[in-house]
Amino acid sequence: MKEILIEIKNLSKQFPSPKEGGQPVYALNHLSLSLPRGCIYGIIGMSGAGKSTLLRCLTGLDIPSEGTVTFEGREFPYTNGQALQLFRKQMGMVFQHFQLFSSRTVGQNVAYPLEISGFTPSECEERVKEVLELVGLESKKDYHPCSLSGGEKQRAGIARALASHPSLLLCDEPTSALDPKTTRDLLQLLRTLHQHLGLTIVIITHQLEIVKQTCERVAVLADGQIVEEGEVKTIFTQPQHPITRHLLHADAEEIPEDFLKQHSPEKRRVRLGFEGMQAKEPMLSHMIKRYDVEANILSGGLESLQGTIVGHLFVELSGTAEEIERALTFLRHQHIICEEFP
Amino acid sequence: MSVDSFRLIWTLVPLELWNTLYMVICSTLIAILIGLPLGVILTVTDRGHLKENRWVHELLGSVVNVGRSFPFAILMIALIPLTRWIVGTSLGTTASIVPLSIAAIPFMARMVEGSLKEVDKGMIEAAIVMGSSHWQIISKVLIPESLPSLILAITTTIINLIGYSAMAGTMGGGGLGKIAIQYGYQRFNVVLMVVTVIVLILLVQLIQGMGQRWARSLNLKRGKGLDRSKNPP
Repeated sequence: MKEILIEIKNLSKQFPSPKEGGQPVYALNHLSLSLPRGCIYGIIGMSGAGKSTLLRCLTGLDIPSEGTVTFEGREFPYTNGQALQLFRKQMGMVFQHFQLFSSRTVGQNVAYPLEISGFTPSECEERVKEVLELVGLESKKDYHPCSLSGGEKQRAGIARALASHPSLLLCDEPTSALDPKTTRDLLQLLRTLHQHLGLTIVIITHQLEIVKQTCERVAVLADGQIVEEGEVKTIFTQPQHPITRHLLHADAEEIPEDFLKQHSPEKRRVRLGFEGMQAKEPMLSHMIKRYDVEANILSGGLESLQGTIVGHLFVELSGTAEEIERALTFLRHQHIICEEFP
Repeated sequence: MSVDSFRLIWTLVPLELWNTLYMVICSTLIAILIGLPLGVILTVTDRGHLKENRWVHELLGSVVNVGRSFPFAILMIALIPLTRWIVGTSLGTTASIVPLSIAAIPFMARMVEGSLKEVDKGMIEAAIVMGSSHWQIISKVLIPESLPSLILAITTTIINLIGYSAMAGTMGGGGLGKIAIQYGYQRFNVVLMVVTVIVLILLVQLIQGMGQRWARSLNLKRGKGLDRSKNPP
């Protein structure tokens, strides 16, 4: 197990109830999570899951009602303004809407975190050049942010976040304001930065694509809690929690309801999960040839996960009970994940 | 136009124009010096801002409101003792600077507050998250980001002060207002009056134009007022 960079323990944030005399609302509900150093980590959740509150607690914009956040082995000093400033300087943050200062040129924007840390102008100049080259924006140094495209703005935002050598890059919906092509380029940039600098990157998003394309590990946030956490590949092939399945669209919900109602007991409904090589083999057809079962495909899909193909199929198997059981055993031997669903 | 009247205009108008400028420039500088910090305090102590503090905000807000509710003529008379104490006399050009500044400070503070509040909250939070101190946020983000709007606020203050200074001129102060009361009102010198009015109009136009042009050029550089910024990609 890698060294832990951020340790979130039992974190809660409650807000007073919108109704008078009502129960307080938990935006975060006893959430615990460990983020390893040097990892690209995705935190995914639908809107209202508590993503922004979590982020605000990680940056000290909100003070948690309960629990602690430990960063680099030290507890987050929520109530000590000056200590908080020092903590924040060790994190770089990338914002959904870029938040570049319009009064400053791109170069001056990137220099801002250095300026406030007391670097001399010549040191700033040097570092600004360095990070702008890193994100491929060296030619735009003297432009104002308004003359940049969305993708360039976000690159400038990343450069600014990296300027003061942070050990962590926190990205808040970094590509939500960008088109698909720019999004891919930007995620590629994040991956490159991760490889070259060994940077820990946390991406908070509601977009599954981003996690799929970029992250090594992922945590699924729902109702202020982490409902599922693990390697992206595992989560994508064997989603356990209904919310994760919903996010993955790997839910039986996609199958027409009428169909689900006409369930005859002699048929068995199974969700098959593939990964890598198995996805390329016609396993289902092998199974049908070998065993006396019939398969009716209800729904399914294939996706590319950072080079690995993963897929899932919802099938309805009919035949004798023993034959179906043997067919499933065959599939399991081929490392296909078989789960029954109602 | 008689030679005498021409000579009168030629000697009086430039002199009193200078007196007006002197009063307005000095009181504007004092108003910026005191009104800008007050505007900053009003902004950052407001609810949900950097240093939320209801007491300071309410107290300062009420003081500013009291200051702004005085009509200038009344303020000027009410301040005579203070003016005497500071300048030694309540008459003349320099003495007028005291009431002019005091009238302009609360006005300035409110205008500054309005400008600083235009700065996007997300941007302030971004600066906080980057580890800025409050002072750094004020000096490096709030003020620079709202500079075009601040320039317009100062322009409006100057133009108000030109109006007030004329009123000061009618009540023992110097400047173009003095010409109006002495030659226009007491001696019915219509020509002199017309010239004074034209000079005032030109002065206001010039200052308004300069302020607007400066603010607009800054805004253009920052991409505001361009179509591009309205539809971010």
